Amino acid sequence: MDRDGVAVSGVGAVSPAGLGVHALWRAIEDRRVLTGPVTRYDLSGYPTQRAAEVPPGAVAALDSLVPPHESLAARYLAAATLEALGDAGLPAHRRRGRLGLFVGTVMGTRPLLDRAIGRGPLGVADRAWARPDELLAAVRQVVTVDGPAVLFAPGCSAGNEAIAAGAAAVASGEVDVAICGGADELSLEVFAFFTSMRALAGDEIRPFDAGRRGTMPGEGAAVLVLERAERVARRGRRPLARVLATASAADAHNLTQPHPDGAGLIATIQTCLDRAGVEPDDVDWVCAHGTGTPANDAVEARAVAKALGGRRRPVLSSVKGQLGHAEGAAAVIEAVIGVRALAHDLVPGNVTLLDPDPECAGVDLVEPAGRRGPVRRVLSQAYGFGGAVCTVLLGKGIPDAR
Amino acid sequence: MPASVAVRGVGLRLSDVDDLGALARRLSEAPAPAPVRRFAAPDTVLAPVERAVYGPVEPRVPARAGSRGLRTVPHESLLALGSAADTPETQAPDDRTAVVWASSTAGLPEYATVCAEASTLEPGFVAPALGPASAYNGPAATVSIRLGLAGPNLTLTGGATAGISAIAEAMRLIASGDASSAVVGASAAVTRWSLTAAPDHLTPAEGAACLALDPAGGDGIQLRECHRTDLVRATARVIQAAARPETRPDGLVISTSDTGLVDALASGQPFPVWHVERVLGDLGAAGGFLAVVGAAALCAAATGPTKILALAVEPCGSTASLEVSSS
Repeated sequence: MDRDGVAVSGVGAVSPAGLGVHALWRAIEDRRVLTGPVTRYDLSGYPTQRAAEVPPGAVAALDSLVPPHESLAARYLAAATLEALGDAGLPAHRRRGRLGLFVGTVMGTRPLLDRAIGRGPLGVADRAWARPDELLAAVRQVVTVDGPAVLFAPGCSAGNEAIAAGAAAVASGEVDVAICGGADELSLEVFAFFTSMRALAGDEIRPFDAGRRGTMPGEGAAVLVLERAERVARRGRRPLARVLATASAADAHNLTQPHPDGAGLIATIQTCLDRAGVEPDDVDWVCAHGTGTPANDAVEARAVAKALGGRRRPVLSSVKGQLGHAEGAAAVIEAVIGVRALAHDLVPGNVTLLDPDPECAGVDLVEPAGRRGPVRRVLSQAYGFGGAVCTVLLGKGIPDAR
Repeated sequence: MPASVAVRGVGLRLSDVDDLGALARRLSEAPAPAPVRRFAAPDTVLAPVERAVYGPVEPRVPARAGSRGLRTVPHESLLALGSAADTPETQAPDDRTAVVWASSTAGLPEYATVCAEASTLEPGFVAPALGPASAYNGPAATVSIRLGLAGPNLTLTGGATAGISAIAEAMRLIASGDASSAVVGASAAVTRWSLTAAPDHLTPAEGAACLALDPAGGDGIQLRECHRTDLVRATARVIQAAARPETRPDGLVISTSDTGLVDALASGQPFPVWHVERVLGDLGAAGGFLAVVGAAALCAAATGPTKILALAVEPCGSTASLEVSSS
């Protein structure tokens, strides 16, 4: 990939902070913890009842923004796409070059089925839960797609895979504009099986904390609009950020457990650095996968320490303590936060961190308040059940800004 | 995306089709009769249904993929594993072999079963093994873990274009250096759950197919010229290609649920047109992939250099096409 060539020209988000990137970034800056009691489902009887929901007011406000669709995830995606195209100064329908859609998800429209979970035999309404392409139906109503429309579902690396595929399509000239998104909605099915796996935290998600007990589902959608940098400049705009490199690999180890050495993660980080031609110390923030599960965080911290061993320990934090784990949307939400971090020179903190895990001593865990200082490059990694790993390296919109 | 990649191996788990020769013959024959099977979804309001379906298909997983724990692996993932294990790339993989898979049905029965259990059992008592298998990525994960393929691991879902996009993404991963080679496949399973969304005019089918792809070079079957666009541009491309002898393909294999579109595209063409869903049944996202494998089968069966176009068209108008040729 031409490393100076692929630019982020617009961003959009629907998150537990509400509608829009502004609300999301404000929540990060204000250190708000957005996990709380679930209101969308009846979870009485479940040992834990907390997750990170898109607020009911924001869900209601979608009615005025996007077409109706039974899938909330489909509507989140459409809203984030419209915001991102507007941010990029691109029209949704005409004279904006060839446009491709690259979207990551874990469960797609399937959560429509779990709305019927009650007492007794499972009710089964509509059919969109069995049709994965329905996730793109609302976007297609508001945006004309004349290039690829690709739906990635490789597990929780989905969002970064969408960014990687979109960036490659821009770099190769297959598309002029890539909508790279991720979307998932809160799923009672996921909540039920995480409960059975004892993977859910009861109070807060505490990534990298010695007392971490587990994760919580989140939800939302986010979008990066990618274009060639000179195309953005021709419209008289400045790129918000650049995609410096992406890399993909797999653990090939276990369906639910990460490789104990973080083999796939280490490989993708090193490949990103090599492709961008930067040193470990040039990475100012590692936006961790950081799910808060006992199984993940120590493995991740050790792998990052090994892959980014330089003169200083890698600076690392996870936003999942604030936002929960939005599955297929998580990596793109985190990429949007990365774009803002680059613009505002703020490294978000580990907001819920109380007692750093000694097993994570190889990395520099950012204190809850976050850190002000130059942020020139952000490394964001994503992986999940199945072992797929994808890592993205973002840089400032103006390459020489230091 | 590289200019082209080479097909180094094929694995098939399809109803009454064991190899490329049988696939080439099947494409040109009248649709085979499909046996009627009964499908049920216990603990739900869905009534059992009886429907003619291509299948069941036996996974025939070779011993080297490991037999331990296979009983808990979903049927569709076993079909994927069986087809992938037949390809040479998986018999001596290097550490950068990618797995790229397309499916619209993977994980669906597991997702629905967790929902049914959550409805009928006490909270926290759903089977823990089902949940991680209830996403779309079971086949790709199973192939990667069981066969030790540590290159990029991608799953695509959606409609028929996903099967051709899987090949496009594998070509991209080979070109970028993320992968040295790729095991690309697609699969479908038929359950009471998938039948709720199955079109009435097509015969649902289960099965899996897999291609091992290397950077191009040497003889054999090559894949090139992937285009992903809307139906108007795709149709124009077919018409333009047909108009000149030097660009005219020797045939067109289409995957779509729209039989009227196939008739329209076939009308007046100077080359034969085959319809995947007509002869193999409805395989969802795997249909586009089977269009490419079918084109490869026709190339392999031809006596001289052959060029076949594979095209997938979704009801929303998205298309993906790929040129398959033999020298």
